[in-house]
Parts: sequence; C-alpha cells; structure tokens
Amino acid sequence: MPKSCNSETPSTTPTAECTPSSTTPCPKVNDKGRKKFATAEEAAIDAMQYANKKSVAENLEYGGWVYKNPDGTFSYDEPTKGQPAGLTNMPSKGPNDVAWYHTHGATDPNYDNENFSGADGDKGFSKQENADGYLATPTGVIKKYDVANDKESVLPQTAPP
Amino acid sequence: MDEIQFISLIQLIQHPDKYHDKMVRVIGVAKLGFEAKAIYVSTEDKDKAVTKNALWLDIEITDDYKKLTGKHVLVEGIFNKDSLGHLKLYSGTITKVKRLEEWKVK
Repeated sequence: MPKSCNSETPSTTPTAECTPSSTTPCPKVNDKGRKKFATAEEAAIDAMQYANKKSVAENLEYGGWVYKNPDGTFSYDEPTKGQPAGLTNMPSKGPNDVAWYHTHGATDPNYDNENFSGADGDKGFSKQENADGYLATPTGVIKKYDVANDKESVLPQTAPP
Repeated sequence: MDEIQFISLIQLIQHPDKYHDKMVRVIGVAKLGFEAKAIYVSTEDKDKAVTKNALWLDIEITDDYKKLTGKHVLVEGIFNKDSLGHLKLYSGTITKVKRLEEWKVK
C-alpha cells in the first residue's frame, strides 16, 4: 500500500521522492517540523481542518500559504490570524509558495461568507498571485478556486467547525 | 487633536508617509460588503477591482452601509499606510472612522 507523505511511518530515506503513488514512505515532517503532504491540495485541506475550528469559534479569519519542500512535498506554517471579515495580515508570497488557503470565520447574516469573495477579494488575490485558492466556510465546506480556469469547485473533504 | 486634512484619494495614495496616522477626509466611491470594505478613486476602479486605487475601511458592515455601495461617499478617519486590508490588496486603511456618509450634490 503506497504511503502518503503524511503517513505515520517515518522515512529512512529523507530525500526519497514523494508522490501520491510513491511506494517509499516519506518523512513525516520537514526541517521546520511541519507536516509534509504529497500534494499542495492535501496540505491546504489539512491546514483548514486545523484552522476552521478556531476560526468559527473566534469568528476570525485564518489563512496562509502552502509551500513546496525541496523533496517535492508540501507543507504549511502556522495559519495567520486575521479579522472577522478580512485576512488583513496575510503573509507575502514566498518563492516556494504555491497555493493559499483561508477560512471565513463564523456564519454571519450580514455576509455571504459561504463563498469566495470576488475580483476585489479572494479571486482577485488568486489571479494577482497566480495561485490556486482554498476556502473553508463557516459550515465546514471546503472549496477550491482554480485560477488557471477561473473555476470554483466544492471538494469532497470537509473542515468541521 | 490634529486638524482634519481634506485631500483627494489620489494624493493620499501617492503620499502615504505624509498622511500616516493623520485625520483625513476623503471622497470616493464605496464598495461595502464581505471582504470588500473600501473607498475607490473612481467607479471604474471599483467595477474593475483596481484595489490599489482604493483604501480599506476599518468598519463593521451594517445594512445601511451596504446601501452605499456604488455611491460617492465622504469618509473621515485616521489613515494608516501600513494596514493594507484584506489580503493586503489595498493601498492603506482608514481606521477610527468618524464619518461615513453619502456624498450628495444637487
């Protein structure tokens, strides 16, 4: 059975190539101690599953970047905490950052926060940075904005608040 | 308390250091909604989402504020050049907003 990069099995070959179909167990964490994943999407989903609980409980947005490790795996750093309706301190995109994610806080009748904001918000940011965006909504739905095709989709995974 | 400086949004965006932490009054076009609380230089900039030609507004959105979207508004508050709004898409923030009202001319 192939091991994914977030397998609990430690690797004996830290430089082994790690892909979804890899038969070689990958190291669990990178040199910063952050979990490693086979794909950027897996890392983004894990980040949002981790952050959305806090986000909804505190009604604050959380987010950050998913970056590529030297061995081809992907990780994320501790999510950045923003405001109730804005991720105002989003870190700047680094050279290895490949995708970004964020949460939308708690359900608010004043807002449609079950969806990405538009060209002057989430989608515009993805376009400017040329990076796919991932969103965990207040109800736990995970969505992806595919920047290359300008398309939004709902992923099967969830991020329960 | 500092005197309010009534200036154009263009001047403010062009000279952020000069107005940082100062009380300012500006007139522009509002966009007030989720992750979009901003005053734009022009309607065209708002419609085309040219967010660097806009300032973020540090306010709580209400139904009354939402109705101002697309309208010219007058805003008074403290300008902060280092706070750049949602995803740092904007050119600064007006905090401690004292006035936000439609700018009407007959």
